Amino acid sequence: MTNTQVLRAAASRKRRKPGLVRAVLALVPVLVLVTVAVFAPAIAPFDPERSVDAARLAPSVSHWFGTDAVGMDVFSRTVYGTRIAVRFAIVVALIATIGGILIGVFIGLSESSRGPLGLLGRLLNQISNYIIAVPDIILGIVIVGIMGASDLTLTIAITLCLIQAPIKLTRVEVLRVRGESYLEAAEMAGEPALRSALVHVVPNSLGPAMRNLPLIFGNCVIILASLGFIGVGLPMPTPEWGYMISSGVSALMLGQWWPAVFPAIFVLLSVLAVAFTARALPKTWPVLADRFSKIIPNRRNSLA
Amino acid sequence: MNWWRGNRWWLVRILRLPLDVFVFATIAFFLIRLLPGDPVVVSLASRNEPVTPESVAALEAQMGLDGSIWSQLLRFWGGMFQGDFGASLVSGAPVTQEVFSRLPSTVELILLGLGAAFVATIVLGFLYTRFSNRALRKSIQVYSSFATTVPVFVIAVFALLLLYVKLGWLPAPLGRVSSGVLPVVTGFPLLDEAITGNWRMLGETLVRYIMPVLAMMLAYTPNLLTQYLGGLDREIAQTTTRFQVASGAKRGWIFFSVFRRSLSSVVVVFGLFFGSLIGGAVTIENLFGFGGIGQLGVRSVESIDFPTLQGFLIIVVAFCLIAMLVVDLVNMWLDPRRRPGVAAEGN
Repeated sequence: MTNTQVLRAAASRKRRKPGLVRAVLALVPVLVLVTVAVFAPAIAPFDPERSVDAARLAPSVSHWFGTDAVGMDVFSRTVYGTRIAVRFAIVVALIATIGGILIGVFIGLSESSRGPLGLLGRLLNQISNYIIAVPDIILGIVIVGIMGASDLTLTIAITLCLIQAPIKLTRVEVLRVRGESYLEAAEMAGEPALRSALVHVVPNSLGPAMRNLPLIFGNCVIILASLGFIGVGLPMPTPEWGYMISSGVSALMLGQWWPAVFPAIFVLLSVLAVAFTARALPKTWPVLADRFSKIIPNRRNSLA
Repeated sequence: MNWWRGNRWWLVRILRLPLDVFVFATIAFFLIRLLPGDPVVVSLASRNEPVTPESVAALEAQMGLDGSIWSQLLRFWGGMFQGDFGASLVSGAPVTQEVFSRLPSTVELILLGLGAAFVATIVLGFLYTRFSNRALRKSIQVYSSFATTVPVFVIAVFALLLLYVKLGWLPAPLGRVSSGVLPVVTGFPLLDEAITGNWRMLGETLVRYIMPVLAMMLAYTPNLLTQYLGGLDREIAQTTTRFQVASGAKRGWIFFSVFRRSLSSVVVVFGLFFGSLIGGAVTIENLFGFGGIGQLGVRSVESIDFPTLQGFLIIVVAFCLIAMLVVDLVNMWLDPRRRPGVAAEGN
């Protein structure tokens, strides 16, 4: 029995290369998520931050997901919640990835050199080592406590949690790239160190941090919802999933399940959508990039 | 000398811990002061008090934010060496006491959730290797691919809907006991109830733990399971396993050997995973009305209790560092290749 399993494990490693259709299909869940976020005003029938009908109405034709304890339309709030979550996730993913790559390149290039730059690089590396040890939600609680709850605060808090992975990934990659001979060649050709860092080191150490980007996206949605759920997220009428769930729990106990369950389903679906695309992307990206480069010639693909 | 060489790996690691905590505390000290936004102003604004120089100075003194940043740092270090992080602005009690009176109950919940996830991982891993049923193996693999995606409080809400609202099998999520005050000896609720012989409360608490522990189990098993399945697939293909098969060892023994060898990959993730467990426990405690450190954090945010937030961050991280240390030491004990100095070979 054990032997057949060994053979089967070897056979399953040889997978079919995905075609273009499958490659595009892998992107569908995230595209749906982003579409809902972008077209939220067109999809939602009611104002998400105002009472529009009697409180605690069950789901019906006019209110698909019912109304909550103060008469706000749960469907509209849930749809707008997608917008809030996606907006945060995109901003945080971009800042964390770009910032993480730049800091990671700086640490990787400077940490073994003497002088103030090397000292700064080692200091940043150590700080990042320690911040990794802080639980995301705890860091979020403390930062929100000190700065007060707002969009900016939550963006800073979540970015600080999630920027550490791209920093570490890029640093390791830079340490690898630094040994390559084309850098030596650039140095001998008299290129300034900053130029060679930006032109040669950055493009060649992008990969791991870019592959980490969908993970940041998904984690941002989770952290934002968790902070909202324990009551230290965005302030009150904002349609944010975590807060909607926690304020719906008291109604849930009375049997009115809709104010809490629908946002919970949306959290679940969005997180799974991102995870699905993130997992399929490494396999399908070469196919897409191949097609893409046929349409626009002379485009280099830095991800592969 | 020989003894030193043989035991250096764990001695050095343990001696480094106080240094780590000290360095982190200093980083945290600067981090929370460098953040934009002034807790004094936010706090005054939230209480609708006028921002006059006197009121600002009074609150700064209460929060320990008066004087230059260097004099603050000296006071902070001095306090820390005596285990003193100031007093809470809400209750007036020392911050260390506020945190340590709540930390054990959170730890208890984490340990139960982790233990349940660990047992589920072993069971699913056994099913995965024992049966060659394609659907079963595939569904276990799909379940393991949910790792780090689904937040635990979402699962808990669905569990609540099914087990309490629809079926009515489990009691409402309103604290650990239906009535009365929990006895406090060690701070771990289950342990205290057993020590004081309060069997009615122990039973109630156990019943009320079913739902949160179930949710934590469902959420955290995939994290362990991905590692474990990877380890199992790898170890089954090892020559060691083939040799055991060829030498005619009993099947049970082969299973045991494969499990034991794959388990090290699970223990490794425990350390990385501890932070997200604390975060998950905070949301779970909030949902089930368990109190714990999450409640302290939220209370401090609402009242902008600066000394408590600072002490809370440092003590919780110190605790995480201790947990990581324990995981590291257990790993190095199980697998000598991970000890520093030995790792140069292979790897």
